[in-house]
Amino acid sequence: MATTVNFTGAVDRDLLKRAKIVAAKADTSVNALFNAELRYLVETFEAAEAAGNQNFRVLLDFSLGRLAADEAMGALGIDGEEDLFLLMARAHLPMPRLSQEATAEMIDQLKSLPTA
Amino acid sequence: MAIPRDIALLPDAGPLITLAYAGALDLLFKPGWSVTLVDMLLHELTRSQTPTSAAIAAWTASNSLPVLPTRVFRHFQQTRSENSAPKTRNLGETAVQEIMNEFAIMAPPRIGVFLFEDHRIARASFLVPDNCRKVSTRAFLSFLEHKGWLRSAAEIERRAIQAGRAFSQLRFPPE
Repeated sequence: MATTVNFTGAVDRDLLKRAKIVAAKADTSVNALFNAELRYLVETFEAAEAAGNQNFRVLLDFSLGRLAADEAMGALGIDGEEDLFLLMARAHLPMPRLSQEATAEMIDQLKSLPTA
Repeated sequence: MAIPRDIALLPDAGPLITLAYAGALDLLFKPGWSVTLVDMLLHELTRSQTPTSAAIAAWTASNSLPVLPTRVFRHFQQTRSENSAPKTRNLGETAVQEIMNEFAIMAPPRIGVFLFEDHRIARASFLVPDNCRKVSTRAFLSFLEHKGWLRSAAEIERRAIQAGRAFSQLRFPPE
């Protein structure tokens, strides 16, 4: 049995709310879900690295906002945004996200416009 | 005060891909704004056969959407006819900037709402004129939810991701 340790982190409020619902439906805990997904990410990263394949690292850097889409597509040898979207979905990595504050500001801009 | 039809909604490639995978392209019509495409982006989305290319082309045609011409696309076509491998990187962004510039000098001024995925907004350094707005797909979907035109913005994102996983025939990690 692996030794477990506690650690402190921060998570998006809405994501945590959704994770609690998923955990309840799956009759498990948020902690178990977190461990499973973190293990998937770590093992995929390590397997790709051991095989000398940098593609997962590229996708992870894109997901974390450290690499632009064009840079990621160049590194992966693909030339379409759709291929990048599909690879991200396949890798179980989220597309890069702006902060909730930035998104809320854009929603306010849209609300100020006339609609049908 | 502008009337809704005078406002142009111009989606980038990313939002069209996301909404096509979610089977929700028609959500773009909900605010009553004039949905307008940019020629270079439409070409990029439909030049190869992909899970969404035919759907986007058919949706564009069936709704008779206006497609704005750009010098960028004209130059691309010209270069392609002379050279088998023209430069393609950043042409979509350059074409969008060209359209934004045209909005800046349009008389009478017209409001343009440019829709991008989050990563484009975070990275691209567009010069956005006062009469244009740069917003994300996520913000647009949340706006629709706020207006009561969409039950759940998060559900659309989930549908797109699930469809992407189901459709993906790409080997992962790619060699």
